[in-house]
Amino acid sequence: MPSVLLTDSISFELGALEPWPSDVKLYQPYEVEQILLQDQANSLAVQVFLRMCGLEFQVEMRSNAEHMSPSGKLPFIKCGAFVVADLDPIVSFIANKGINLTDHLDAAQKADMRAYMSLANNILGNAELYISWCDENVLNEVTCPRYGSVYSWPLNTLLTWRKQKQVTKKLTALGWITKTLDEVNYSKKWIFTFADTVLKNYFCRFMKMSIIAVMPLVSASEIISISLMIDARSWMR
Amino acid sequence: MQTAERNSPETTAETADVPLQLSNIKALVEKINVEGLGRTKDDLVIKTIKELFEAKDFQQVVLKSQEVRTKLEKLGCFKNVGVFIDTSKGQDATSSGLEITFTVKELKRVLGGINTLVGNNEGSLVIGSNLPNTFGRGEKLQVEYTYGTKQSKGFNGMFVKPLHNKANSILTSSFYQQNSEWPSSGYHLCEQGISLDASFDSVPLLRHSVQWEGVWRELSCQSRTTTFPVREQAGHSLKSALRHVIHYDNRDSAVFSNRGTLFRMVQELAGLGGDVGFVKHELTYQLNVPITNDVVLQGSFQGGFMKRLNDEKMIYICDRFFLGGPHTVRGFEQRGIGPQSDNQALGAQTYWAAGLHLFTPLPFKPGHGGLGDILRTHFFVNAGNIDNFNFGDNIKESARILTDRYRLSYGMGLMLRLGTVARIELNYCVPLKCQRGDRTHHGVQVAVGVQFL
Repeated sequence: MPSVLLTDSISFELGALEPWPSDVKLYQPYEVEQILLQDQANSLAVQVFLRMCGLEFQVEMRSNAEHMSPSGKLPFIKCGAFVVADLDPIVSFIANKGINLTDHLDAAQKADMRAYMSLANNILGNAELYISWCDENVLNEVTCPRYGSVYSWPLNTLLTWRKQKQVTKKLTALGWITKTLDEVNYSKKWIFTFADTVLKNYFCRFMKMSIIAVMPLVSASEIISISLMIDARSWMR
Repeated sequence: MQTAERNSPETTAETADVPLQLSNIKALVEKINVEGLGRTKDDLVIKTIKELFEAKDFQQVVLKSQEVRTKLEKLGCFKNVGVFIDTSKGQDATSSGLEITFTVKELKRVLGGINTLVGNNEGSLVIGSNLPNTFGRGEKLQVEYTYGTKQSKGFNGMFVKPLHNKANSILTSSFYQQNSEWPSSGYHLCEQGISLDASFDSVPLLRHSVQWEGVWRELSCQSRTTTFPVREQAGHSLKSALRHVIHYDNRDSAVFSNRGTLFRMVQELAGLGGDVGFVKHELTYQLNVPITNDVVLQGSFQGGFMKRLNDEKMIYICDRFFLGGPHTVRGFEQRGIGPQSDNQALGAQTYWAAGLHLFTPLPFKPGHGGLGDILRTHFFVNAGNIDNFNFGDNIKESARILTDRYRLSYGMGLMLRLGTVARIELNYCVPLKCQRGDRTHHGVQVAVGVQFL
């Protein structure tokens, strides 16, 4: 049986040879009724990235996008014959075609950038999951109705329960399950100020550079999406 | 000619010169004993043996007691049944009275076993246990775990209640979980469901089944290379369907039949709840005509038609029809005929397939008892067509659409019988007519299974 890693790297190499097609589609769950916080944040991140690279794409909404994705992560893009899911693999896939936003950074700054992105992903990503699936109020009022909205009874209750068990298991392994909501909010606020500082610092240092070049340093789309979500009930604390 | 006073067959030994006419011996069954009953309920036993009281002469008594014995064995309560006919004794006995004793041995409370099962191109191991005669009226509670050679795993729990009436009605309820792989279409399917079934004979040999099934299906792609139209169907779906099956089979054997017909029609309505909705009809017909003593000509036909119920409910790839393979139109890969994408079958909503077969014994005629019984040679011509046809109102036009781009193959091979239900086929196939996109297989095809075109 061929190794999955080998197939991936081969497919990326092959993908590098083709130019960006005109019919690339980005798949995500339904925006109005179904999508949850983390998927919305990731989807916005990918969309912002693609637009900043100047690449054309269309957004397709599917109720089963989560299951269509080859790795289970959202969103995913269909680029010709290739299906790539999640922000980091998509960025690598596009980088293979010679398009990226970090050409102006040297190796040390690229390493810093990766560290900041990883930090943002870990803390913000897990905070998003915690808010959606572990907080009773949000779970009952927002997450469960939205996640089960595309299924008929009794699948809607069954699948939501199953997903909650999966997410709880993951957060337990990471040690997030024992945090209280206040602790989670504190982590969010911390990363807010941190991102603020980073933006300011980089802005000061590279004042002549446009904001666009600086934005990817901190998964800025996450900040944009979070500021959008700040109006949502779950964040009014 | 014997007189009516003779009431015991023991005296026939002395008059061996004159043939004894059992039908002329007047006999009356006065008492029936059933020994060995445990949990089996009395009313069921009484209902079964009651007809024995109607016998008027000795011949009828002997024949009817054999019939009753077979019926008792078929109840599903007893392991074996013995019959003992004797003259009736005691105060109320008359001269022509008989007393019949049935000695029954009840089945144990819990039975278990490990069996092998043969499916279409797949063998499975079945580990199961059942509780026969659970409540005393022939019910059965059965639990099974199946593990197949193609990584298909399944679990099945079933409760069967026979009603023991003239129509041979049986009520079944079961819940099951079944995992199956379909590499020819690139997906893996996990089904979990409940099914309720009521079967009965409307006339002898014609069996109806009315079923309701509620299934939760999870379709997932087998690998990253699964084609996108199949990837679009990945996810969860819920099917709640009513089904009606008519089954008529008067062939002398299911595997190597020499004469008889098989007719089977399935009609399914899905959409009462859940998100899957369609109306499906499927028909199977087989006719066997013996030409000489050993040579049989068989014609068979299969067809199916399905239509989406309304705009809100969908048809998924696992509901559609597929055609091609060593069990249907030979000479093509499994699911190799019809709409394909990247060499993976997508299925379609209408199909038909027909076959003409000639079965002959082995050329060197080893005779009966031995290889000759279980091996046959086989010449065949298969044809079929499958697509999402758009039928109009014109029947002629529809018929033309159906036969327009049909596929054809022919060949010959050997068949080996496995037990009483399955066979192995080894065929050399030549596909004659095919369409662009079909996956043909010119050469040797091997197949094991129960159902063939």
